[in-house]
Amino acid sequence: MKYDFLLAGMAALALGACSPDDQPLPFGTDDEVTKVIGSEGGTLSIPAGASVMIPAGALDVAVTVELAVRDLLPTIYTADALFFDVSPVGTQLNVPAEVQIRIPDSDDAWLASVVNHTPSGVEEIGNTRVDLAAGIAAADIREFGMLALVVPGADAVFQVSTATASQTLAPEAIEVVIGGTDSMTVGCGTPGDRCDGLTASASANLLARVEDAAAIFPVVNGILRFDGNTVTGEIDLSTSFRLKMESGQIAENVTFSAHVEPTAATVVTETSTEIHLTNMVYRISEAGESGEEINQFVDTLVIPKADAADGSVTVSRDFQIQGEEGQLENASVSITVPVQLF
Amino acid sequence: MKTMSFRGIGFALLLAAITAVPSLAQVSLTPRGMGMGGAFVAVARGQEVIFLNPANLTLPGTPQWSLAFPQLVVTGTMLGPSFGDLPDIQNFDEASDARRQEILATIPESGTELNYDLRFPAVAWQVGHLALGVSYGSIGQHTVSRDIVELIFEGYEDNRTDYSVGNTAGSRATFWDIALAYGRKVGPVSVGATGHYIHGGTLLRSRLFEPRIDLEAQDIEVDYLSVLARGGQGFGLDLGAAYQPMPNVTVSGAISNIVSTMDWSEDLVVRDLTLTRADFDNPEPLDILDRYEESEREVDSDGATLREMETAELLYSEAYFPPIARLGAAWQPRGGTQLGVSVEKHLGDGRLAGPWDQKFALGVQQKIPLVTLRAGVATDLDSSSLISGGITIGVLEVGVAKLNAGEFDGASRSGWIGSFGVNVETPQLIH
Repeated sequence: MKYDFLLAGMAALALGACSPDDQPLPFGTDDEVTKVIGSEGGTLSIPAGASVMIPAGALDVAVTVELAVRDLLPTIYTADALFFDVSPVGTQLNVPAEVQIRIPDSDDAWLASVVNHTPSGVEEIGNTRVDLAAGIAAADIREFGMLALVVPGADAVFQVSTATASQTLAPEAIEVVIGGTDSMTVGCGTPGDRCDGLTASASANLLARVEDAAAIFPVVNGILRFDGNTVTGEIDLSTSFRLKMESGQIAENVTFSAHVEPTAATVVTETSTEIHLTNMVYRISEAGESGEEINQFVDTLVIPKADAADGSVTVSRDFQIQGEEGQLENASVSITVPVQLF
Repeated sequence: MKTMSFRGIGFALLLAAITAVPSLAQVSLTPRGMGMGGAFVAVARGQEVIFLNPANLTLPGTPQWSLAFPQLVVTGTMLGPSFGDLPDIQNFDEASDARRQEILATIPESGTELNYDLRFPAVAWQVGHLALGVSYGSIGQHTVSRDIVELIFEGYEDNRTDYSVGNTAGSRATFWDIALAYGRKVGPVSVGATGHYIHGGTLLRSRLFEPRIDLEAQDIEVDYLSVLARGGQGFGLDLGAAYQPMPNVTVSGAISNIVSTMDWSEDLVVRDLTLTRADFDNPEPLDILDRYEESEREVDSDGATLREMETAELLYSEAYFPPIARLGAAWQPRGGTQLGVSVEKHLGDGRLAGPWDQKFALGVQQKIPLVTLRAGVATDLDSSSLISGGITIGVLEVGVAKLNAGEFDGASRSGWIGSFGVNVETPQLIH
């Protein structure tokens, strides 16, 4: 009988056998972390879904840096976004820090972009790298601020579907008075004052390499002053072309800035329908403070008058990609800005 | 050459995932047990019982002492290609296009998977009713997306931008198991207990991230990230019982890890390898491995990047030994013949034991002059099975098994198990 008890005991032990619990990961669980980061750099991260990697040389002296999650806040972009404070807000970096933020669920997640609210202003970082497979977006920042990962609204995204089709919204009139000291001012692209009427396009061979493409956060600003037959001033345009690769898992960016200004040889001439600014220099470069200049050329800037249709100015960034046979071939991305005089 | 470069990179990645540190193993099967398909619970005697059922230490047929030094059991499975394809995979640049396509056709759209399980009892020693075993275990797996395999076989297609690494990721765990077993008689029933001290070696999770493609610079960067925890300790307790209702019939049952703990180190390190176009154009696999190992750095709890945290997400998941219930019977109709049957079931989670959650095995052992022959079959009562054979010549023991591990995504998963050991025991038996 005691052996029956022994067998019963074994059966009871078998029923009671259980596995240990999974060991938790040793990462912090708080919604904020503080570290002293010196010139050697360092990384801060919080499980809410953000990390900041400050490289060596970004800071000259040791700084107490904090990364903290804030509550969901309404945004001017899309739905509420989770904001992350990187403080001291306003700290300038010698070398960009990389922020990684977890991508929220969205059908348009490939357009997700980091927005950095700093004392210097709101920086909408179109050059955000999106890894949909890992669910992480990454971008570089040069100033500590309040970060969020947002999907830009329709007014900040210019979809490119084919080489010839493009999204065009209602044209924005640019008011100019000719005669005496006159000026042409253009400014759009900031939150709340988006650029209507822009057209984004890309070459067919580039579009054949990607699943989708769109220009994000285009910004145009500047002024041209007319004094008789001479002109001074400058116009700047910058944007990021987000390219969703064929795998559908990553989105890369082709960024460019265009700087247009008159040269010493620029002359203002006028026809019944147009104003011509000859010998204007176009400088195409990568976007950003340290954008490398890619191309420079001189051309005539044509500004249609009020009653002329389809007035526009197009700036392009040209580059080369591998063709189907392995040869290098030209590709381009372009932004067309409607311009009209009244 | 570009077509060669990705292949070297691919193998380097696989090597980085599967090798790097010396493997240590923990024994779960001896060559003799493996030769009988694992139907060995009631058959095992002497040092063989340490990791099966310590109650067998008091059964008739137990030698006065026995020593196994060393033993080795290695299991490998692949999803898609068979192990017979390995020579052509290893020398893919010498294989014909038709042969490469033939191998590629066996890989499902979801990719292939390599699994290995290595158990190495450094020493297993039994004296009377007491036994001590020190063994080393290493288990690992790595999935590789079909696109990566195509990169290895066919090189980089310059105009192709849809490469996806998919779920190219891996894991590895190594550990030492120091076990002390004791058995005693309680009337006609034998009971026993084995205490385990587990010394954790390396726990690793790795991942290949989607490539960053710079179209205008015609450049590509691929990151391979690993998170490792080194060290740890755990304890386990096995309990068993055995009974011989008749002199030539044995019934034996045990529960392994009826209680167990396993705590891995929380000091994590990261290895980060970025492969660029320069690596693809001029590959140096050993140099790449060196860079990978030299990139190692510590990461603190609130200083890991999001990608490092994502990679580490499942690092500790089920990184322990599950409780396993075993029940077996053995019948010795004649002096040189033994028949064995056993069933085994995992009673909980834990990935440091074998991959089968349950097992039913049948085996036979036949002694003939000078040698002992073994054969067995086993199944997980689902889609996996194995057929095995083994031989003992003097002190040398060898076993081999063909493993069929079912199908996934339309491709078969199969492999081999090989084992080798040296076992010395006294001819005198305890009573």
